[in-house]
Parts: sequence; structure tokens; C-alpha cells
Amino acid sequence: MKTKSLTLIAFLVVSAVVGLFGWQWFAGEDKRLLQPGPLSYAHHQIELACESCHGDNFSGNAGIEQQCRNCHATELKAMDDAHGQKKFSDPRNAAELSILDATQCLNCHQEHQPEFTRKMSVTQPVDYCIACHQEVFSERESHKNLAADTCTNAGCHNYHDASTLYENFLAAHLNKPAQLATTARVARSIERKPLLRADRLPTATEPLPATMDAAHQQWQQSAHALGHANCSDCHRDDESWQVSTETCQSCHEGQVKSFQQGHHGMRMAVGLPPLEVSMAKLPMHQDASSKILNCHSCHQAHDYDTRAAEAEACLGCHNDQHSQQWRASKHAELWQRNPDHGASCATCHMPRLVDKATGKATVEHNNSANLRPNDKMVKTVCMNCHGVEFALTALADPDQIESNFSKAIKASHSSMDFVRARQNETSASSKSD
Amino acid sequence: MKNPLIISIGVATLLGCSEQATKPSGIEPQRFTDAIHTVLEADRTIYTQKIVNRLTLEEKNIKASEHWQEEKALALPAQMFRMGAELVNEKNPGFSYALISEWAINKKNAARTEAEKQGMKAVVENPKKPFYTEETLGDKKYFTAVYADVAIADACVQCHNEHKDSPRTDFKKGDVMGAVVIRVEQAK
Repeated sequence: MKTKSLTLIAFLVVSAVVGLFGWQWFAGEDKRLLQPGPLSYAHHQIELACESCHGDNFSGNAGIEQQCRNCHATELKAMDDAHGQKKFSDPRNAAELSILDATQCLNCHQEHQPEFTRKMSVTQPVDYCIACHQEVFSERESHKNLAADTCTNAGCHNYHDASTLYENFLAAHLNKPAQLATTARVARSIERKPLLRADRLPTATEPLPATMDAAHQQWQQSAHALGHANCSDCHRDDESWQVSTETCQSCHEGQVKSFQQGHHGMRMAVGLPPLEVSMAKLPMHQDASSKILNCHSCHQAHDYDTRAAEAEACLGCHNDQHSQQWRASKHAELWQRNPDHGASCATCHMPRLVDKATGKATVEHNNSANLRPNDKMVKTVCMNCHGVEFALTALADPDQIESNFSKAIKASHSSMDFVRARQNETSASSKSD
Repeated sequence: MKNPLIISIGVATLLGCSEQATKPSGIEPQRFTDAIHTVLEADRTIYTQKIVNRLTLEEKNIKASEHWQEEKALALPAQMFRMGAELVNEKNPGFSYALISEWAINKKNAARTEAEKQGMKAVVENPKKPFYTEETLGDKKYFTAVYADVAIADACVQCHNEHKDSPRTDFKKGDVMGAVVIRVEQAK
């Protein structure tokens, strides 16, 4: 009798557990219970959209690899991925690939493995470079005494994006001053001249209500007015004054697309509701926790002041040391005096980039594109005002980053020292010839 | 007496047919790699002589640089060759090609596999005679052909002799500077 009762209880418990998991799998919206472990910082925002990585059919690693490429291929192609799949597809690489198959994203970036996951969501041991580049330690005089876990230190080597950290580039920028004589910030492409057409002026026959009148006044000074975007172009819904992201996208397609590629907007890209500040892993202001991230979070509805979007909008949510220190920084002081100098938050994190083909400048709304590893911003931002060595040295120092670059910068970076030494070696050997 | 003869002829014909049926159809691997090499060599010669050598050394309009994008320069002939090889690999056509050298500036382009080492040695000794073999890499079998890569212009010699990472600095025009390796995947 006792055995029968125990069997019945065990049956009920197992049924309940199986039922719970089954319900979660087929009907539950929050599938975190089914996850083998939490996701990395890169993807934690989309953990509720399993299919965004696994595909609709959970078709195994091949399916996941395809999803990796769906989101990241464009960016990797743009940076001319130094370790892209095509670099390894020749069969002569078979021996090296048997040690570390770098043709598959998943071999270096495993998800649901928090105990092994390091910066950039890398799950290989920190000395993974020696799997293929062991000879560097014997061939390069400068590298002989280096530890194998220092290859990807800030300012040394960047696995995917080698467009800045290579010898000739650094050599071409040796001994440049910390502060360049002239700054070269990218100017806006939009023409600031009145374009408002008389036939597109609002045609209200009665005076506008006071609140609406203020909006109207602000709108008249805005880039929207200059660009012929009338009230009804944005307020399309008769029932509501809300303006959707899709409406913004109908004119600002590139900006919305890049916004949805970054941490701010990636949830929307996979069909999830917009990011809420409370979901962030970085320190945020408590009173901002219920804010959501869409176009209006940074851009005001009618007062289209992009200066507010460049700094105040960011600081309304971000509450880490680096953000807190910005207002007292030299970057901020200069920028507040003249937006063509100094640096706002957006100057560095959402920079204005020039399209090589059209020559048109657009703001990079993917806030993650220029962020990690931080040497990515040397070319796009820092070099507009600073020498490369000064920028690399500052970006490699966590204290500098925390203080928003308010401390004295060290004299040099080891990468530049190595390049200097190589130049001396070469000139010495050519003299002896 | 006639019947055994007719039967013999019939059997022989059938055997012949069946042998023909089991013989692999299509071009022989060696003929295929020779053809691919002819095209590669022609394109490489034209780019090196008519584009790079002319514009950089004769007319001095533009320089060639390994960082050609950054420096708004011409891609080096070896880079042009590798970019083509990578593009071909993306299409996974069942063959691949690579440029290797005993005096490679980038050590990753030194002969690596046993076939490459043997082939490299053979074409340095006898540039006119390609080296053919079979090898297994990973879990796949390949027909591998190695052809001499000869300095066909002053630009080749000058660049390799002056590069700070070049292990050899006395190349002359006409010297074997490396080898082109072409592999064709074989059926298992």
C-alpha cells in the first residue's frame, strides 16, 4: 500500500514537471525555464526569442550558424573580417582547423555557457591565438617574452577587425601629437535652409490649442519642416497621436535598421517589444527603469534638437562611472562651447560616418558597432582630434575610461613601442647592408 | 565452332561496355589542373605586367601596396591571386588554388603539407615540369598539382627584395619565387 502511494506520488510529480516543461515549450511566452544557462551580454536581451538563434525548427548547429550570419555578416564583411570563413576554406588549412575550427562561429562563441564566457562572448581559452600563431613568439623579437594570453589586450590585436591594429598603419601614425592641430569632425549632410513649401503648411481654420501650438512652433524650426514632413506625415492614425517606429522608418529606413542592429533596438529586430531600461545589465538611473527604447526615447517629438539626443538623452538612463563623469570632462566642456569640437556621448558611440559611394554623412544608430573592442573607435572618432598612440593608450586604460579621460594619459602604448623598435631594427640592418 | 566465337565476341563486347560504363566520365584531373593553371598564369601575368609593373614602375602613376585599400593603391599581384582564390572557395566548386613559397613574406604561405613541400622542391629544381600527386587533408582526398611561379616583371623582384619581412633579397627576373598549388577533390 505504501509502495503504491509512493509510486502514485512519483507519477504525479513527474507528470507535473513534464507538463510544466511541455506547456513552457509549446505555449509559454517566457521560455527561460527551458534554457540550459543564461545568455551572454551580447544576446541577453533576446533570450525570449529562442528562434532568433535556433531558427524556427531548432535545426542544430548549422541552423544557428546561419542565424549568426543573418545578423552579423554585413558588419563582418564591411570590416573585411581578418579571420573570416573564406580565409580558412582552402584545404591546406586542414591541420590547423583540426585544432581550432575557426570556420564556425560557434566554436569560439558558445551561448548558455556563462562560466566559460569572456569578453566579446568568447568561449575559447584566452590564449586561443597560439593554436595557429605559435611561431610569432620565436620569430618576432618584440613578442618573445609576451604571454600567450595577452594577444587580444586592448590596442594589440583584434581578431575580426584588423583595420587599425596592423604594423603599417601604426607606423604611419607614429609620433603624432596627442592633440592634433586641426579637428576633422564629419559635418552634417542635411542642408540647413528653409524648404517649407507654402502648399504644405498646416491648413487649420481655427486657432490651434495652446499645447498643439507649441508643438507647431517647435516643428516649424525642425528638420522635419525643412524636409517637408507635415503633421499628417507622422500622425497617420486618426484615433491616436502616437507615432510608430514603422512611421519613422518609412523615411528614416537606414537609421531604424542600424538602430535595430545595436543593443538599443535589437529586441525589435526579432519581434520582441522594445527594450525597457530595467532589462539592462549596465548601471541605469532607477527613475528611468520603466522607459522604453525607441526613436522617441532620444529624439523629441517636435523639438528636433539632436544635441539633446547626443548627450542628455543618454544620461537620462545611463548611470555608470564613465557616463557620470562626462559632464565634468574636457570632451564635454569643449562640446558644450562648440558642437564642432569636443565630444558628446554620440560623437564616440554613435558617430557620423560618411558613405564612400555617396559622400553622404549619416549617424551610426547601431550603438554597439563602435563599442567593442574599443579600438574600433580609433579610426572612426578619436583620430579626428587625437594622435593614434594617444588614443590607443587612453582606450587601453580602464581607469581612463571610468574617469571619462580626465586623468593624465600614459606616455605610450606597447604596440607603438614594438613598431618603433621594428623600424629601428630595419633601419639598422639596411645601414649594415 | 561458330557459336563459341560469336559468344566470345558477345561477352567481350559486353565486358567492354561495362568497363566503359564504370570508367569515370569527364576530364582527367591532371588535364583539369593544367587548364586551370593556364588561365591563372595568363591573368596573373597580365595583371603584373600590364597593370602593376606599368603603373608603378614605368609610368609611376600609382603605387602598389599590401594595404591597398587604406593607402588607395593597387593590390599586389599575390593579393589579387589570393582574393580570387577566396572567392572561388566561397562557391565550393570542388577545386582550390593557392600561392606558396619557400621564401614567403607571410610565413602562413610557406609550404605546409608534405605534397606542397615535395612539389615546391621539385619545381624549384625543374621549373618547366609541374609536380603531380595525391594527398589526404582532413577527411578528404585530393589530386594536387604544383606549378612553378616565376618572377615575370621587375615589380615582383623589387617588392620581394625590399620587403622587410622577406627572407630572400637576391631575386632576379626569371627566378622561381614560389609555386601555384591546385587541388581537385577526389571522390571517396
